[in-house]
Formats: sequence, structure tokens, C-alpha cells
Amino acid sequence: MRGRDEDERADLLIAELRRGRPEAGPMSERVVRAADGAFAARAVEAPVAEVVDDSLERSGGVRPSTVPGPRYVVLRGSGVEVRLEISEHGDERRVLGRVVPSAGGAVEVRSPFGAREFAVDGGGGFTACGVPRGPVRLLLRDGGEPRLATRWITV
Amino acid sequence: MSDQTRDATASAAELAGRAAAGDHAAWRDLIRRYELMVDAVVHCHGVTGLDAEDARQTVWCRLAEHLDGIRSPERIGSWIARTAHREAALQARLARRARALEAAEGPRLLDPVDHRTPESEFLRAEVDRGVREAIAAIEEPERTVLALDLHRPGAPAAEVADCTGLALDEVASVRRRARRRLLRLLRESDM
Repeated sequence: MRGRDEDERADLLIAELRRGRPEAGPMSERVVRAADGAFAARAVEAPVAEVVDDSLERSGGVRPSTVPGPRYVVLRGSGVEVRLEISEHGDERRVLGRVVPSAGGAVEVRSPFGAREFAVDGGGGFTACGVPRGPVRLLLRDGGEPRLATRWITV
Repeated sequence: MSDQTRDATASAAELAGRAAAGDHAAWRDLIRRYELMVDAVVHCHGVTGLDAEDARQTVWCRLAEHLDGIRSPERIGSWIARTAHREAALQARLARRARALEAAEGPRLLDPVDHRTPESEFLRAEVDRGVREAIAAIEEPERTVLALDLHRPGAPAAEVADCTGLALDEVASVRRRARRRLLRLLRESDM
């Protein structure tokens, strides 16, 4: 029977692929701490901006892209757009951002392990240096409560 | 997480509800319940090492952010699976970008000597690429069933059902269908 032959070949393929691949294992302590950090900081009283464009998702399908430049990400929520240019420096990232429309204030760059604040200039621009690789979330503040939070993205 | 520690008394929906209300123990139980599935999904996209750690962290950050607005807590397993696929695929691209950047900067003096032959490395990379492309082309629930099939052999049907939203008696037939699809896609990519 043709179907059975195909099933046998499919089973052999899976057995063959499994040989070179790791078995799933539990999270490292660092991942657990990151998860707990995100849980502790989950309550954000602000609308959430979603990713509307990410150059990483446009380039080269699942094949490697050829010339790597900075990555560009655009997030939008509640009529505010946050445009990011992310470049890599070892395990740290530099994030150049622009908030449109501009409202000054500050941007808090949050990782699961802590947060740092950077000033937003009159034109809506900011520069965040030394951002650790991994998940980050940006909160726009002008005084007290944040007016917008981005969703978590990996940088 | 072993199956002994899986919290059989609380449903995923209950855990998600308690976690959303601020119950830290429920949060831990929830992520322990799905940690192996997330790891399997991350691996099936060819993401390893620090990149895998980053992808796993982002999945839990997204879950924490998602808890409040959750509409179908009984389907939290398949939500986590979809999120894990998305973040792992992005991470795979980030990792390839980083390697391309490194290559552009030239070889480093302290790179370890690689004893694998170029041929075996090439074949391995081709197979990995084929699997990655197949996984990208296969939809849920087959995609997550395959990830578990490859990286969590012997996972109980109840766990597969919990991670995919399938009924228990559908797991075997979906696994069969998923294996056949992978076989066909890999064959096509050879041609």
C-alpha cells in the first residue's frame, strides 16, 4: 500500500532527524528570572503599541539576508508612532528612536532585569545606548504615568 | 519539567486566570507546564545557545503582557505555541544577521578550530534549512505537533493536546499527517 510506504518513510525521516537534534529541556535560571521580572512588571496602565513593520521580517524569507545594516522597527498605538533603528554592538544594542507626534518627556527602556530612562528631545528623538540583548519594552513618559507602552520585542 | 510535576489538578485556564490576578505560584506553574514545548519550538527553528535564551525570555514576557487581555484562557497552550514560533523565527533571522556581521568583520583569532568536515557541515546545514523552511510552511496545529515530535519524543498525547488545542483522540492522526507533510516538503526542496 502506497500510504503505508509513505508512513514508513516519514517515520524513518523523523527518527533520522531526531538523531542530530537536542531534546527539549527545562528553562535556565536566567530565563526563569526573566519570566518573573516580566510578571512583576506586567501591570502597565497605558495603551500598548504593536509592531506594524519590522525590516527583519521583510528581508530574505527564511534564507540568510546578504548585507546586514541596522534593523528598523515601527510600532503604533493610540495615534502615536515609535520608529526604532537598532544596531548591534556585541551583546549590547544601540536604539535610536523617534516618537511621532513628538511630546518630549522621556522613554523608559525596560528589560526583564531592570529599566533605564533616556530623554526625548523636542523633535521626538532619543538615543538609548548599552541596551542588553534580549526582550525589551519601551514606555513613553511625560511626567507621571506612561502614555504609551510598546509590546515586548527581542533586540 | 517532568510529568510528575505537571499540575494535573489545575487546568491551564485556571492557572492563567490566577496568574492574571497576580498569583505568582500560578504563574510559575503555567510557565513550567509549557517550558518544554517552548524549548522544542525554539529548537525546531534552529535557534540555539544565547539566541534560544533570548527567544524563550521574550515568549514569557509576551505571555505576562497578554495575561490581562486574554480572551480564551482555555486555549493558552496554543497561544504560547504560536508566540514561540513567531519569536523563534525572528530570533533565527537575528542570529543569521549577527553571523553575517561577524563574517563581514573577518575571522577572529580566538575562534576555536572546527574539526567537522566542510562536507558534513554543509549537508547538516542543508537539512536544517530544509526543516526550517518546512516548519515555516506548515500551519498549526501540525507545526507544533512536529516540533514536539522532533524534540520531545515520547511526549504523552495529553501534553501534545494541551499544547495545540487538539482533542486527545486527534493527536495520533495529526502527527501522522504532519510527518507526511514534512517528508513531502523535504522531498520537494531536494528537487
